[in-house]
Amino acid sequence: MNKRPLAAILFSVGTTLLAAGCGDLGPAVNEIAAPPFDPASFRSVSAVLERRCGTLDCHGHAARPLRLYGQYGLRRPEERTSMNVENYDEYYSGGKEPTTIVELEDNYRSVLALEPELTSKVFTKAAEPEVLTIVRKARLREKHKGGLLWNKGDPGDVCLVNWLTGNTDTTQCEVELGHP
Amino acid sequence: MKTARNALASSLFVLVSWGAFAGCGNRAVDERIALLGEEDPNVPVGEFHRPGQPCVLCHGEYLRENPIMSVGGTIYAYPTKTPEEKPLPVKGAKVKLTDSFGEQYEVGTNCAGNFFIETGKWDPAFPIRAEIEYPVPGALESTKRVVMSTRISRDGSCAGCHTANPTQGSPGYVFCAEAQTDPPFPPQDAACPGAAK
Repeated sequence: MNKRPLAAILFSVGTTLLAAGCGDLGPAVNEIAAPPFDPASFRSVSAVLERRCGTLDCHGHAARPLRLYGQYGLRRPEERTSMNVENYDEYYSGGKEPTTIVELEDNYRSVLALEPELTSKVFTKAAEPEVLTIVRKARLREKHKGGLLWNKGDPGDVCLVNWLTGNTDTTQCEVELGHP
Repeated sequence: MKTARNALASSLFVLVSWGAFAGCGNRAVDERIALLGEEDPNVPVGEFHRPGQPCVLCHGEYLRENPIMSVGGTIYAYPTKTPEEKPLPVKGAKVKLTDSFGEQYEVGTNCAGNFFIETGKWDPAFPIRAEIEYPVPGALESTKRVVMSTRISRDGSCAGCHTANPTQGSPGYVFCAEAQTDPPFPPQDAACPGAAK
Protein backbone atom coordinates (compact mmCIF):
# COMPACT_ATOMS: atom_id res chain seq x y z
CA MET A 1 0.00 0.00 0.00
CA ASN A 2 1.55 3.25 -1.12
CA LYS A 3 0.71 5.92 1.44
CA ARG A 4 2.25 8.86 -0.42
CA PRO A 5 -0.59 9.65 -2.85
CA LEU A 6 -3.13 9.56 0.04
CA ALA A 7 -1.00 11.94 2.10
CA ALA A 8 -0.67 14.24 -0.89
CA ILE A 9 -4.44 14.26 -1.43
CA LEU A 10 -5.12 14.96 2.26
CA PHE A 11 -2.56 17.77 2.21
CA SER A 12 -4.11 19.37 -0.85
CA VAL A 13 -7.65 19.07 0.57
CA GLY A 14 -6.46 20.57 3.84
CA THR A 15 -4.74 23.52 2.22
CA THR A 16 -7.75 24.14 -0.04
CA LEU A 17 -10.08 24.20 2.98
CA LEU A 18 -7.74 26.56 4.80
CA ALA A 19 -7.53 28.82 1.78
CA ALA A 20 -11.33 28.78 1.46
CA GLY A 21 -11.54 29.95 5.05
CA CYS A 22 -13.60 27.16 6.57
CA GLY A 23 -12.40 28.22 9.99
CA ASP A 24 -14.01 31.63 9.59
CA LEU A 25 -17.69 31.30 10.43
CA GLY A 26 -18.36 35.01 10.83
CA PRO A 27 -21.45 36.66 9.34
CA ALA A 28 -21.61 36.05 5.61
CA VAL A 29 -22.72 39.10 3.71
CA ASN A 30 -23.18 38.34 0.05
CA GLU A 31 -24.77 41.28 -1.64
CA ILE A 32 -26.78 40.52 -4.74
CA ALA A 33 -28.53 42.71 -7.23
CA ALA A 34 -32.19 42.67 -6.23
CA PRO A 35 -35.22 44.95 -6.05
CA PRO A 36 -34.49 47.45 -3.26
CA PHE A 37 -36.60 47.39 -0.11
CA ASP A 38 -38.91 50.34 -0.66
CA PRO A 39 -41.85 50.03 1.76
CA ALA A 40 -43.97 52.41 -0.33
CA SER A 41 -43.98 50.23 -3.46
CA PHE A 42 -43.40 46.86 -1.81
CA ARG A 43 -46.46 47.28 0.41
CA SER A 44 -48.73 46.67 -2.60
CA VAL A 45 -46.72 43.66 -3.75
CA SER A 46 -46.67 42.27 -0.24
CA ALA A 47 -50.42 42.85 0.11
CA VAL A 48 -51.03 40.69 -2.97
CA LEU A 49 -48.75 37.95 -1.64
CA GLU A 50 -50.34 38.19 1.82
CA ARG A 51 -53.82 37.89 0.32
CA ARG A 52 -53.15 35.16 -2.22
CA CYS A 53 -50.37 33.14 -0.57
CA GLY A 54 -50.12 34.14 3.08
CA THR A 55 -53.28 32.61 4.55
CA LEU A 56 -52.75 30.85 7.86
CA ASP A 57 -53.25 27.42 6.30
CA CYS A 58 -50.59 28.04 3.64
CA HIS A 59 -47.59 30.37 3.58
CA GLY A 60 -48.83 32.19 6.67
CA HIS A 61 -47.08 29.52 8.69
CA ALA A 62 -43.75 29.83 10.45
CA ALA A 63 -42.51 26.45 9.26
CA ARG A 64 -43.18 26.99 5.57
CA PRO A 65 -40.76 28.21 2.91
CA LEU A 66 -41.89 31.66 1.73
CA ARG A 67 -43.23 32.40 5.20
CA LEU A 68 -45.36 35.51 4.95
CA TYR A 69 -46.58 37.83 7.71
CA GLY A 70 -49.55 40.13 7.32
CA GLN A 71 -52.62 41.80 8.79
CA TYR A 72 -54.97 38.96 7.81
CA GLY A 73 -52.56 36.09 8.35
CA LEU A 74 -49.67 35.26 10.60
CA ARG A 75 -48.33 38.17 12.62
CA ARG A 76 -44.64 38.61 13.35
CA PRO A 77 -44.12 37.62 17.01
CA GLU A 78 -44.03 40.86 19.02
CA GLU A 79 -44.23 41.69 22.70
CA ARG A 80 -46.60 44.38 24.02
CA THR A 81 -43.60 46.68 24.57
CA SER A 82 -42.48 46.41 20.94
CA MET A 83 -41.84 49.68 19.12
CA ASN A 84 -42.78 47.98 15.83
CA VAL A 85 -46.50 47.92 16.63
CA GLU A 86 -48.73 50.98 17.02
CA ASN A 87 -51.92 49.42 18.41
CA TYR A 88 -51.01 46.19 20.16
CA ASP A 89 -54.62 45.38 21.08
CA GLU A 90 -55.38 45.11 17.36
CA TYR A 91 -52.16 43.26 16.56
CA TYR A 92 -53.57 39.83 15.86
CA SER A 93 -54.49 37.84 12.78
CA GLY A 94 -57.40 39.77 11.26
CA GLY A 95 -56.99 42.70 13.65
CA LYS A 96 -57.03 46.36 12.60
CA GLU A 97 -53.25 46.92 12.89
CA PRO A 98 -51.99 47.03 9.28
CA THR A 99 -48.99 44.98 8.19
CA THR A 100 -46.04 46.64 9.96
CA ILE A 101 -42.83 47.88 8.34
CA VAL A 102 -40.84 45.07 9.96
CA GLU A 103 -43.36 42.52 8.70
CA LEU A 104 -42.96 43.99 5.22
CA GLU A 105 -39.19 43.74 5.51
CA ASP A 106 -39.42 40.13 6.68
CA ASN A 107 -41.69 39.32 3.72
CA TYR A 108 -39.20 41.01 1.39
CA ARG A 109 -36.39 38.87 2.77
CA SER A 110 -38.58 35.78 2.63
CA VAL A 111 -39.23 36.23 -1.10
CA LEU A 112 -35.63 37.08 -2.01
CA ALA A 113 -34.15 34.29 0.09
CA LEU A 114 -35.98 31.59 -1.86
CA GLU A 115 -33.62 31.67 -4.83
CA PRO A 116 -31.30 34.66 -4.37
CA GLU A 117 -28.97 33.98 -7.30
CA LEU A 118 -31.81 33.42 -9.75
CA THR A 119 -33.71 36.41 -8.39
CA SER A 120 -30.62 38.49 -9.06
CA LYS A 121 -30.48 37.21 -12.65
CA VAL A 122 -34.14 38.05 -13.17
CA PHE A 123 -33.64 41.53 -11.71
CA THR A 124 -30.69 42.20 -14.03
CA LYS A 125 -32.65 40.75 -16.99
CA ALA A 126 -30.14 37.94 -17.39
CA ALA A 127 -32.94 35.39 -17.00
CA GLU A 128 -36.67 35.16 -17.63
CA PRO A 129 -38.97 35.50 -14.57
CA GLU A 130 -40.24 31.95 -15.07
CA VAL A 131 -36.89 30.54 -13.88
CA LEU A 132 -38.15 31.47 -10.41
CA THR A 133 -40.13 28.86 -8.49
CA ILE A 134 -42.38 31.54 -6.97
CA VAL A 135 -43.44 32.65 -10.45
CA ARG A 136 -43.94 29.10 -11.77
CA LYS A 137 -45.88 27.85 -8.74
CA ALA A 138 -48.32 30.76 -8.80
CA ARG A 139 -48.91 30.07 -12.52
CA LEU A 140 -49.22 26.35 -11.74
CA ARG A 141 -46.44 25.58 -14.20
CA GLU A 142 -45.08 23.44 -11.38
CA LYS A 143 -46.90 21.34 -8.76
CA HIS A 144 -48.39 23.67 -6.18
CA LYS A 145 -50.57 22.56 -3.29
CA GLY A 146 -52.28 25.95 -3.32
CA GLY A 147 -53.31 25.49 -6.95
CA LEU A 148 -53.44 28.13 -9.67
CA LEU A 149 -53.23 31.66 -8.33
CA TRP A 150 -53.08 33.42 -11.67
CA ASN A 151 -52.10 32.91 -15.27
CA LYS A 152 -49.20 34.64 -16.98
CA GLY A 153 -50.19 38.23 -17.66
CA ASP A 154 -52.97 38.38 -15.06
CA PRO A 155 -52.85 41.37 -12.67
CA GLY A 156 -51.30 39.38 -9.79
CA ASP A 157 -48.68 37.90 -12.08
CA VAL A 158 -47.79 41.29 -13.58
CA CYS A 159 -47.62 42.78 -10.07
CA LEU A 160 -45.09 40.18 -8.94
CA VAL A 161 -43.04 40.08 -12.13
CA ASN A 162 -42.89 43.89 -12.33
CA TRP A 163 -41.43 44.05 -8.87
CA LEU A 164 -38.96 41.23 -9.49
CA THR A 165 -37.71 42.96 -12.63
CA GLY A 166 -37.32 46.36 -11.03
CA ASN A 167 -40.47 47.98 -12.42
CA THR A 168 -42.04 50.07 -9.65
CA ASP A 169 -45.47 50.38 -11.30
CA THR A 170 -47.89 48.78 -8.82
CA THR A 171 -51.12 49.50 -10.72
CA GLN A 172 -51.75 45.81 -11.39
CA CYS A 173 -51.24 45.00 -7.69
CA GLU A 174 -54.13 47.31 -6.88
CA VAL A 175 -56.23 45.65 -9.61
CA GLU A 176 -55.46 42.21 -8.14
CA LEU A 177 -56.37 43.41 -4.66
CA GLY A 178 -59.71 44.58 -6.03
CA HIS A 179 -60.68 41.00 -6.89
CA PRO A 180 -62.94 39.29 -4.34
CA MET B 1 -26.70 -19.59 -3.12
CA LYS B 2 -29.90 -20.92 -1.66
CA THR B 3 -28.75 -19.93 1.81
CA ALA B 4 -28.01 -16.38 0.65
CA ARG B 5 -31.43 -16.17 -1.00
CA ASN B 6 -33.10 -17.43 2.18
CA ALA B 7 -31.20 -14.90 4.24
CA LEU B 8 -32.29 -12.09 1.90
CA ALA B 9 -35.91 -13.28 2.00
CA SER B 10 -35.98 -13.45 5.78
CA SER B 11 -34.34 -10.02 6.05
CA LEU B 12 -36.98 -8.58 3.74
CA PHE B 13 -39.71 -10.29 5.76
CA VAL B 14 -38.37 -8.77 8.98
CA LEU B 15 -38.14 -5.33 7.36
CA VAL B 16 -41.68 -5.47 5.94
CA SER B 17 -43.23 -6.78 9.15
CA TRP B 18 -41.35 -4.15 11.19
CA GLY B 19 -42.61 -1.49 8.79
CA ALA B 20 -46.16 -2.76 9.11
CA PHE B 21 -45.85 -2.83 12.89
CA ALA B 22 -44.37 0.65 13.09
CA GLY B 23 -47.02 1.96 10.67
CA CYS B 24 -46.54 4.62 8.04
CA GLY B 25 -48.15 7.39 10.08
CA ASN B 26 -47.63 11.11 9.99
CA ARG B 27 -46.24 12.11 13.33
CA ALA B 28 -47.09 15.79 12.87
CA VAL B 29 -50.78 14.97 12.32
CA ASP B 30 -50.80 12.28 15.01
CA GLU B 31 -49.56 14.78 17.58
CA ARG B 32 -52.15 17.39 16.55
CA ILE B 33 -54.87 14.76 16.95
CA ALA B 34 -53.55 13.68 20.34
CA LEU B 35 -53.67 17.32 21.49
CA LEU B 36 -57.44 17.40 20.88
CA GLY B 37 -57.95 15.29 23.99
CA GLU B 38 -60.68 12.86 24.96
CA GLU B 39 -64.33 13.01 23.94
CA ASP B 40 -66.76 14.95 26.14
CA PRO B 41 -68.61 12.15 27.99
CA ASN B 42 -71.85 14.18 27.76
CA VAL B 43 -71.80 14.32 23.97
CA PRO B 44 -72.23 11.20 21.85
CA VAL B 45 -69.83 10.84 18.93
CA GLY B 46 -71.69 12.36 16.00
CA GLU B 47 -72.64 15.65 14.41
CA PHE B 48 -72.61 17.55 17.73
CA HIS B 49 -69.28 16.36 19.07
CA ARG B 50 -66.05 18.29 19.43
CA PRO B 51 -67.32 21.78 18.46
CA GLY B 52 -64.54 24.24 17.71
CA GLN B 53 -62.07 21.49 16.84
CA PRO B 54 -60.49 20.83 13.43
CA CYS B 55 -62.92 18.29 11.93
CA VAL B 56 -60.94 17.25 8.88
CA LEU B 57 -57.93 16.26 10.96
CA CYS B 58 -59.76 12.99 11.76
CA HIS B 59 -62.52 13.07 9.14
CA GLY B 60 -60.09 13.52 6.27
CA GLU B 61 -57.95 11.48 3.95
CA TYR B 62 -55.45 10.62 6.69
CA LEU B 63 -57.52 8.87 9.39
CA ARG B 64 -60.60 8.43 7.20
CA GLU B 65 -63.02 8.50 10.15
CA ASN B 66 -66.56 8.38 8.81
CA PRO B 67 -68.00 10.59 7.48
CA ILE B 68 -65.08 11.82 5.41
CA MET B 69 -65.37 15.59 5.10
CA SER B 70 -64.02 18.16 2.70
CA VAL B 71 -64.95 21.12 4.92
CA GLY B 72 -66.18 21.34 8.50
CA GLY B 73 -66.31 23.79 11.36
CA THR B 74 -68.26 25.56 14.06
CA ILE B 75 -69.92 28.97 13.91
CA TYR B 76 -70.10 31.13 17.02
CA ALA B 77 -71.97 34.35 17.79
CA TYR B 78 -69.13 36.72 18.68
CA PRO B 79 -65.42 36.50 19.59
CA THR B 80 -64.35 35.53 23.08
CA LYS B 81 -61.87 37.68 24.97
CA THR B 82 -60.52 35.32 27.62
CA PRO B 83 -59.70 31.61 27.67
CA GLU B 84 -62.33 31.14 30.40
CA GLU B 85 -65.15 32.62 28.31
CA LYS B 86 -67.22 29.91 26.59
CA PRO B 87 -68.14 30.77 23.00
CA LEU B 88 -71.84 30.84 22.08
CA PRO B 89 -72.69 28.57 19.13
CA VAL B 90 -75.17 29.76 16.51
CA LYS B 91 -77.84 27.40 15.22
CA GLY B 92 -79.33 27.91 11.77
CA ALA B 93 -76.48 29.90 10.25
CA LYS B 94 -75.89 29.24 6.56
CA VAL B 95 -72.33 28.66 5.43
CA LYS B 96 -71.90 29.47 1.72
CA LEU B 97 -68.74 28.32 0.01
CA THR B 98 -67.48 28.99 -3.51
CA ASP B 99 -64.54 27.04 -4.91
CA SER B 100 -62.00 28.19 -7.47
CA PHE B 101 -64.12 26.88 -10.36
CA GLY B 102 -67.07 28.94 -9.16
CA GLU B 103 -68.96 25.91 -7.82
CA GLN B 104 -71.05 26.76 -4.78
CA TYR B 105 -72.28 24.76 -1.81
CA GLU B 106 -74.44 25.79 1.10
CA VAL B 107 -74.81 24.06 4.45
CA GLY B 108 -76.48 24.96 7.74
CA THR B 109 -75.26 24.76 11.34
CA ASN B 110 -76.82 22.58 14.04
CA CYS B 111 -77.47 23.47 17.69
CA ALA B 112 -73.78 22.96 18.52
CA GLY B 113 -72.87 25.45 15.78
CA ASN B 114 -71.30 22.58 13.84
CA PHE B 115 -71.53 22.09 10.09
CA PHE B 116 -69.76 19.73 7.72
CA ILE B 117 -69.72 18.74 4.09
CA GLU B 118 -69.02 15.15 3.10
CA THR B 119 -66.42 14.77 0.37
CA GLY B 120 -68.84 12.59 -1.58
CA LYS B 121 -71.30 15.48 -1.78
CA TRP B 122 -68.86 18.29 -2.54
CA ASP B 123 -65.13 18.05 -3.07
CA PRO B 124 -64.11 21.64 -3.77
CA ALA B 125 -61.07 22.88 -5.65
CA PHE B 126 -59.14 25.12 -3.28
CA PRO B 127 -58.87 28.03 -2.69
CA ILE B 128 -62.40 28.56 -1.38
CA ARG B 129 -64.30 31.76 -0.64
CA ALA B 130 -66.49 31.57 2.46
CA GLU B 131 -69.38 33.59 3.78
CA ILE B 132 -71.92 33.17 6.58
CA GLU B 133 -75.54 34.26 6.64
CA TYR B 134 -76.82 34.24 10.19
CA PRO B 135 -80.27 34.88 11.67
CA VAL B 136 -80.35 38.37 13.19
CA PRO B 137 -81.35 38.08 16.87
CA GLY B 138 -84.79 39.47 17.55
CA ALA B 139 -85.61 40.09 13.88
CA LEU B 140 -87.89 37.41 12.50
CA GLU B 141 -86.57 35.81 9.27
CA SER B 142 -84.00 38.59 8.86
CA THR B 143 -80.44 37.53 8.11
CA LYS B 144 -77.06 39.22 7.93
CA ARG B 145 -74.14 38.28 5.70
CA VAL B 146 -70.47 38.15 6.77
CA VAL B 147 -67.73 37.44 4.24
CA MET B 148 -64.42 35.88 5.28
CA SER B 149 -61.63 38.40 4.62
CA THR B 150 -59.24 35.85 3.12
CA ARG B 151 -59.67 32.71 1.07
CA ILE B 152 -59.25 29.23 2.47
CA SER B 153 -56.17 27.90 0.72
CA ARG B 154 -56.01 24.24 1.65
CA ASP B 155 -57.32 23.33 5.10
CA GLY B 156 -60.95 22.17 5.19
CA SER B 157 -61.03 22.52 8.97
CA CYS B 158 -62.12 25.99 10.04
CA ALA B 159 -60.46 25.34 13.39
CA GLY B 160 -57.16 24.59 11.66
CA CYS B 161 -56.67 28.38 11.80
CA HIS B 162 -59.64 29.67 13.85
CA THR B 163 -58.66 28.60 17.34
CA ALA B 164 -59.97 30.06 20.62
CA ASN B 165 -59.20 33.74 21.24
CA PRO B 166 -57.55 35.95 18.63
CA THR B 167 -53.73 35.79 18.74
CA GLN B 168 -50.79 36.60 16.49
CA GLY B 169 -51.37 33.22 14.87
CA SER B 170 -55.16 32.97 14.85
CA PRO B 171 -58.13 35.24 14.15
CA GLY B 172 -60.06 33.44 16.90
CA TYR B 173 -63.24 31.39 16.51
CA VAL B 174 -65.40 31.88 13.41
CA PHE B 175 -67.97 34.41 14.58
CA CYS B 176 -70.99 36.21 13.16
CA ALA B 177 -70.84 39.61 14.88
CA GLU B 178 -67.96 41.67 16.31
CA ALA B 179 -69.62 41.63 19.75
CA GLN B 180 -72.83 40.55 21.49
CA THR B 181 -75.76 42.29 19.83
CA ASP B 182 -78.85 44.04 21.20
CA PRO B 183 -81.14 42.09 21.36
CA PRO B 184 -78.64 39.38 22.20
CA PHE B 185 -78.00 36.08 20.44
CA PRO B 186 -80.21 33.39 22.04
CA PRO B 187 -78.51 30.98 24.43
CA GLN B 188 -77.72 27.48 23.24
CA ASP B 189 -80.69 25.09 23.34
CA ALA B 190 -80.40 23.23 26.66
CA ALA B 191 -81.47 20.02 24.90
CA CYS B 192 -78.44 20.20 22.60
CA PRO B 193 -75.81 17.59 23.50
CA GLY B 194 -73.01 19.26 25.43
CA ALA B 195 -75.00 22.43 26.20
CA ALA B 196 -74.74 23.97 29.66
CA LYS B 197 -77.64 22.70 31.77
